Amino acid sequence: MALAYNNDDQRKSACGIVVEPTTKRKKLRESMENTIIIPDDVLRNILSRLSAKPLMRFRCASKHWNSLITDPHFMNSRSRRMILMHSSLAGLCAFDPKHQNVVKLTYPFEHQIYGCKIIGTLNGIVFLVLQKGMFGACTLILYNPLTRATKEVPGLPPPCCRISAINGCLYGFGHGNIIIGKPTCICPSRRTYNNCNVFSLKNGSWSTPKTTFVGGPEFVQKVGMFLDGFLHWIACSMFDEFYIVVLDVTEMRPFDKYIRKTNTLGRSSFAKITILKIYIPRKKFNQKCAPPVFSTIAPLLDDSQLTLAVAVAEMLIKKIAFLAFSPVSKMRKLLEMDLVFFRDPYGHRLIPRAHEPTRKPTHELAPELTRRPVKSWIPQKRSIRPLAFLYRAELEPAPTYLQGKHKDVTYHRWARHSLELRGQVTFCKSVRGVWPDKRYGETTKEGQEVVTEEDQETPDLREMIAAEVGEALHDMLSGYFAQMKDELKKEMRSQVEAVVEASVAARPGGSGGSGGGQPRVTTYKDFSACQPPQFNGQKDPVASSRWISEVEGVFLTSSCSEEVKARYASNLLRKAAKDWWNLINRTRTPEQIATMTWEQFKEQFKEQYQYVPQVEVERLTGEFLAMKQTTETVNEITDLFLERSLFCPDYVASERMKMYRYAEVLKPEIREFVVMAECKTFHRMHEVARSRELELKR
Amino acid sequence: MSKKTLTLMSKDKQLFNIEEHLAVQSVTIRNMVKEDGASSVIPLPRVDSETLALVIEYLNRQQAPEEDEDYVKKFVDERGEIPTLLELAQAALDLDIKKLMDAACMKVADLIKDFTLEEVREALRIENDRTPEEEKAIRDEFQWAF
Repeated sequence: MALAYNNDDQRKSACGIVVEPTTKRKKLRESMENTIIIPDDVLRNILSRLSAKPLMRFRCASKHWNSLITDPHFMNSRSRRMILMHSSLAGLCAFDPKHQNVVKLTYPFEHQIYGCKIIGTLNGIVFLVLQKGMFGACTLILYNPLTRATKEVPGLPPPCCRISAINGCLYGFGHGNIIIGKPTCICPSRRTYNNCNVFSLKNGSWSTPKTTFVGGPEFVQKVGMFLDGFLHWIACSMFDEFYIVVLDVTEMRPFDKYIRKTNTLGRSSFAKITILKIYIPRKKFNQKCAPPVFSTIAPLLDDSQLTLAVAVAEMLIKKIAFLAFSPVSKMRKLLEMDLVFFRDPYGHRLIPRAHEPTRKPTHELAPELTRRPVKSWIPQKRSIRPLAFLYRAELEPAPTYLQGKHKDVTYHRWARHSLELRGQVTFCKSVRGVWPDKRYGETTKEGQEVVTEEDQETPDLREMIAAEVGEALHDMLSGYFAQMKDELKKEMRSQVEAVVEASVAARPGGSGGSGGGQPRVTTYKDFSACQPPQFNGQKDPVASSRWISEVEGVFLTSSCSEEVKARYASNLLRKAAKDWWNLINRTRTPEQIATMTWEQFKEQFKEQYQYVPQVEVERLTGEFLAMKQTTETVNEITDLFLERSLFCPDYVASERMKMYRYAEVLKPEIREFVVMAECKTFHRMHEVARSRELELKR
Repeated sequence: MSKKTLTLMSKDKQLFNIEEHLAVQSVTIRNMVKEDGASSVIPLPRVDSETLALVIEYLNRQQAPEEDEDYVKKFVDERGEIPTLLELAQAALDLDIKKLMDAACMKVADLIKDFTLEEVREALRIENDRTPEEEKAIRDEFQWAF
């Protein structure tokens, strides 16, 4: 047998048969009759089909296996594009556009994660900003979801590691640099970012280049998207216009040319990105309507089905800008009307698309919109191309042996170039299912043409189309908003009527009709006329208790009856709070929900939003005791002092103790003055400190 | 296509006949046929006769293209032992039959994915050449995987 083997070697290699090169293995075979020799190709093929858990486990099996598994080429070959997302409800998860499924990821820490933001990805490493615990500071983490290895970026600059900085700072990642913009408050609602801290992964150090964004943009989207060497943020000007702020990462220089005030679609010469600017007057989004959320799409996991729950998302893809709209409302009618607008810059067509979570064709939805004569402003020679297809052409093909459906695949290599912007692809891909098959054919045929024709475009035509697209989009949107509002109103009215009827029917002897002796029933209209505040679900005991007391105030003013209080109040919950409320209501019957009293509601609410674990209290106490005024003004530090003192009442039990602590906090130059003044009350002390501060500034 | 038959020889010198148009599903055989007309016997020195019989059974399948996927899956499922599957995968690798190779590997991966380390070593007869310290180091690092 051995002889035959040797003779055949030459022939085999000529014919392309893979010859096992290791003589050592042959020997092994002779010595151990039972050993199965698995060729490396077979072994690799098998291993590539395993999920992360067994793979990491089998690293221990033998040295050979370990070397196969840890081989970078092996890891690369099994990489796949996934879209990383984070939502407060579902946690960190990855969406696989190919199989349309979602993989839940573990957080890099065992701690309870309070806040998380995905800044960017590079070769499978994810950059996250995490806030550990409710009152924890922020840390920047490099995280490999496959091996779950983490590395903390050392020394986050002071204002960015503070509490609540996770939402306050501006983030971006590109070209190996992590950029964190420090907020500067002008007034509570507006923040500008003038100095950026840059962490270079190459040098492993922080630097602070001088960067000024002209015009004081208010960033509505805190995490920038990196594209073609530029970071992009969506911002809002003082005139309520949304536009895109562009930052050159290599030179750390923002392009103020992008801040334009005309409703045109222009082609920028420097970044080669077409931008569609959209006006959405913010007045249209008043408190009663769905609030505008400008962010990347944050899908929620709901019975393993991907439902998109984003109010408005404007995004930027390579040469494609599109707007997606979908109200947060849980009302079914509105959910069905989720719309995705795609603007295909090559086909010059705005394609309104109905999108349903079940991914069934739903052409009958939103008929008013599809019926609009879009054709009039579309150059006829171009045909429609679904955006998803354009996008697919730009993606590299996935390795062929990953064709099988792996439910438990946990391998991710987000974004080879960190180009595909989380979320955007989700939209394209999920809409693909809605598309009629016929159109695919067209696209494949013309796929080549798309790329080649793009540059021959005359700028005039582009400009013209731009204006038209913008106008049409604007018209459409306003129509849609009006429709949505009507829908909401109708829904509200019917609900209120139902409630009123129910309460009338429930009243004993209430059949006497609407006689004058009957006590007046508070409708939801009366209730909302008092403008009760909304609650977004921030895990802040102060904010939540304030909300409770404000709502109780509204109950008093509108003389609300006991049975409707809980229902009215639950209508005020928004975002995370609404999600929480829906979650706990799942376990209840409709009668239980209907008969819930305000006290029961409050109890549930407090449990969720006002419970502060003892550990946190202790930590906060420590923070309170260590508090010192540094760069803050007296007013700022006082607010912070009072806020924190709420959690450690022992230390501020009496006015004198409070004053003593307060003096400790202040800067030395202010403190000596304040102590000298021998104030009688805390209030007086604050006044003295403030006047001293003004004096020092003079 | 002509109904020419080819002869394959397994490593224990057994001969198997197969029609040429079926045999060319294997890329290796196709190349051989192209090169020298494959007048003589094609030796397969790493494939034993049992496995070759299986491969030939697979190549002889008469399935419509759309049912092919299911057939391969079923074919592999019926031979659910790991050693057989590995032999099959190796034969498929030598003969370059992609579908069979992928299906066999998929099945093996399915079988071993819930195995513990010891079970996998036993099932695939892997010799443990790691010291306990090395093993412990990996275990500690990837505790979640064990």
